[in-house]
Amino acid sequence: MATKAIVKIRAVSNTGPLLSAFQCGRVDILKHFHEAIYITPDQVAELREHRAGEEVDELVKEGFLVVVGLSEDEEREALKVAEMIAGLARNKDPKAHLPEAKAMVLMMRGDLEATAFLVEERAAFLVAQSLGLNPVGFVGILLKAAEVSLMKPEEVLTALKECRSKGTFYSDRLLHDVERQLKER
Amino acid sequence: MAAKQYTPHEPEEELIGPEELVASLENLERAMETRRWELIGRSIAESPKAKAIVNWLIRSGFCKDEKEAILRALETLFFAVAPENEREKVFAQREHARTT
Repeated sequence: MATKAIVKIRAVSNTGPLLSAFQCGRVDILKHFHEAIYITPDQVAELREHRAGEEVDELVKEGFLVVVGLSEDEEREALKVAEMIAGLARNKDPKAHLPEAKAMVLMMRGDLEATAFLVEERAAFLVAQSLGLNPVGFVGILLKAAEVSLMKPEEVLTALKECRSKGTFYSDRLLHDVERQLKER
Repeated sequence: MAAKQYTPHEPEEELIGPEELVASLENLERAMETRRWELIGRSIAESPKAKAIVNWLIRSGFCKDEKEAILRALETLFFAVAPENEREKVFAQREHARTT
């Protein structure tokens, strides 16, 4: 019987999933599932603030990361989305959520052919889900990698613990759930 | 060489939990499936033979547009080659979609 080959997708990403991939040194997993990842200049600025500027420049040079700016209309739309995120987030200041809001507005463009929105923050994830933007967390990508035998279960857990040791606050509940799912597969 | 130190990302914000993990996996599957169909559609659109057939079907008034031409062509092939029980399943699905 014919089996389906893995199709690489295009995605728009917020800062978190890229930072997680850098933290655990598994950008290769992102490359396995994506032909290109679009980000806005806001994500570039945030990644530079997090000392990942060199890595970003390298991936932009390769053409894997593509930086796309927003129009004035889109910037205005982003403010509305930022207010939606602020309504669910701990930080109630919409301006604090503008980078992820801008990435979501970029995702709404049809011309990029992006079919997934990569995001780590729960509030932004829930808003993206309500807007039909197909949000995917980095952890979901790692689980998929294990499902297709690209990573061993223990490698997934090591990667997540590595991210956590470097400041990405994946909860114990999430790690236990990942461990359980890896055992079930 | 010392491991590179990145500064933590938004430590004050709650990250996704088990509930969003399930949704993540479903969304990733959907994203891959959508992309797969987009690429299939593109390869059909790039085929001169397919284009010529579809254009003729529209020009001759058998179909109103490209989508209808492709769907009807698929249905015709399916009903020509599929066993009766499979055809009944598709009829039932179609009827269900029509009435709901």
